[in-house]
Amino acid sequence: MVENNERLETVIGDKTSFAVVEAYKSARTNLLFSNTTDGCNIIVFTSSSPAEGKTVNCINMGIELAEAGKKVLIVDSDMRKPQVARTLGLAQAPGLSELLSGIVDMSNIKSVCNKTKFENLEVICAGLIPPNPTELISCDRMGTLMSALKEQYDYVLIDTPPALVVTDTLLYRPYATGYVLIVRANKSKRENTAKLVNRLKQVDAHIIGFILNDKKIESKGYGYKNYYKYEYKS
Amino acid sequence: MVKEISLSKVVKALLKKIWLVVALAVICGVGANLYSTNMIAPKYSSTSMLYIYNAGVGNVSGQLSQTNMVASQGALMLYLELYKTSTVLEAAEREIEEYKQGYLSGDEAYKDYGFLADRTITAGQIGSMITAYQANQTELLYIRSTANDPRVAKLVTTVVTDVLQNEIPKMLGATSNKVMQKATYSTVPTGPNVAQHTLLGIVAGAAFACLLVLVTLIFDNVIRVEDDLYEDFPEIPVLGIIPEINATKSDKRGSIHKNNRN
Repeated sequence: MVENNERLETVIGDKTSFAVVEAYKSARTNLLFSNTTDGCNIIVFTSSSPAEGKTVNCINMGIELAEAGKKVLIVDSDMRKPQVARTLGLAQAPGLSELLSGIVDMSNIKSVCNKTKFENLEVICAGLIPPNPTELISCDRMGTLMSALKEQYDYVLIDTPPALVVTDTLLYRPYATGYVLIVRANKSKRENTAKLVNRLKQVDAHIIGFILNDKKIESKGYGYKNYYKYEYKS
Repeated sequence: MVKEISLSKVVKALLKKIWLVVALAVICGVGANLYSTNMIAPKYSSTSMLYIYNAGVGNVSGQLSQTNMVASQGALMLYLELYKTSTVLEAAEREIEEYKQGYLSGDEAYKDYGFLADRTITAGQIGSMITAYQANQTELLYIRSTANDPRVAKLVTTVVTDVLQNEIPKMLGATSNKVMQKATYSTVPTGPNVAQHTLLGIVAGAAFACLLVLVTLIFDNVIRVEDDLYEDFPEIPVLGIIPEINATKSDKRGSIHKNNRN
């Protein structure tokens, strides 16, 4: 397992600042209380354009959900530019592409599930980059895979490519409980975000909400200084 | 994409960029001050005053009648119309040329007009230098000239006053006039108005900065804060607002969280 230190810094952990951790906890709480199902929730993470923080937020939300005691699986569905394996320092293959192409049998899903250092969190990486990612996602084996995953996990978080670039994201519509849209402050354009929302609405996808990523902290302490008054004592 | 913006957003944007407004106001104010002080030549003015009256109408010696006053007002209006005619200006030009020739010929009476030696003042130039105006609805006519040289200003005022005093009555017949004040001479410049220019510079700088901020705001197509999402998509909740991860440095306080984690 080779760790990419630079990318690992964006994954929340012991060294992450209080403000960021609390922000993710807050987002987790909102997600838990949003209009999701009692059974397994399949949540698709997407954005309008590349480099808006889909992968990092998908992973961090997965970590927070796992910490809340949920059984979480992250699926890297971006089979063109996979990021999850690199970010978490996991083996890229075998992964989703092998499952969907039949190289790995569906009865052997666990063989492509990577355990992580986070309890309750597992990852299916993208696998080797195939020539036909869209066709793989739209094949029947995807339905079989989703059904199998639903039985084993409380949350399946799917990291997908930018929705305005490729159509992969929309192909998850039949399986997804909802979509979480990642927007990057000072980068995402309003019109692109509007196009993304419209595109999802056209296929009648349920949009759970936005996560605004990378917001500049303007106020001192982001309000977290007051939290030190409520320091927990062991 | 041009979008509607509220007044509160404009005010917030301006307050956020107040440093830009102040900076540009200061820069433009200083620039205007320096330009006004160093680049604009100072102007000097000279003023004379003529009393215009119509002595031939209903005059009872030593007393002004209503008719007389009305006629005088009318005469003054004529002066105001005629002072910039070519007749007056060309006569003034000739008179100034006489001064010049008098100096050049060495005539003692013109010894103070050496400043004319290497310059020619044309009728057109005289026309651009002088203004005449009525004082407070009275029969008093002010003649004022402005020039880069106070001596020129005084000479032009003197000459034009002379011409008006002598030539206009000949043209109009019954009007008369009297010089109440000869052309003044002042070495204190009347222009440029440095304070006014500086103030204009400050205002222009501030206005330009505000315009810049406004244009930037109008054409800003990027989502910056959660309010932009609430505004564009009121039906979709914002689940989380994650601060810049690199901007929030880990420190001892992070250890509090560490103690709380399993």
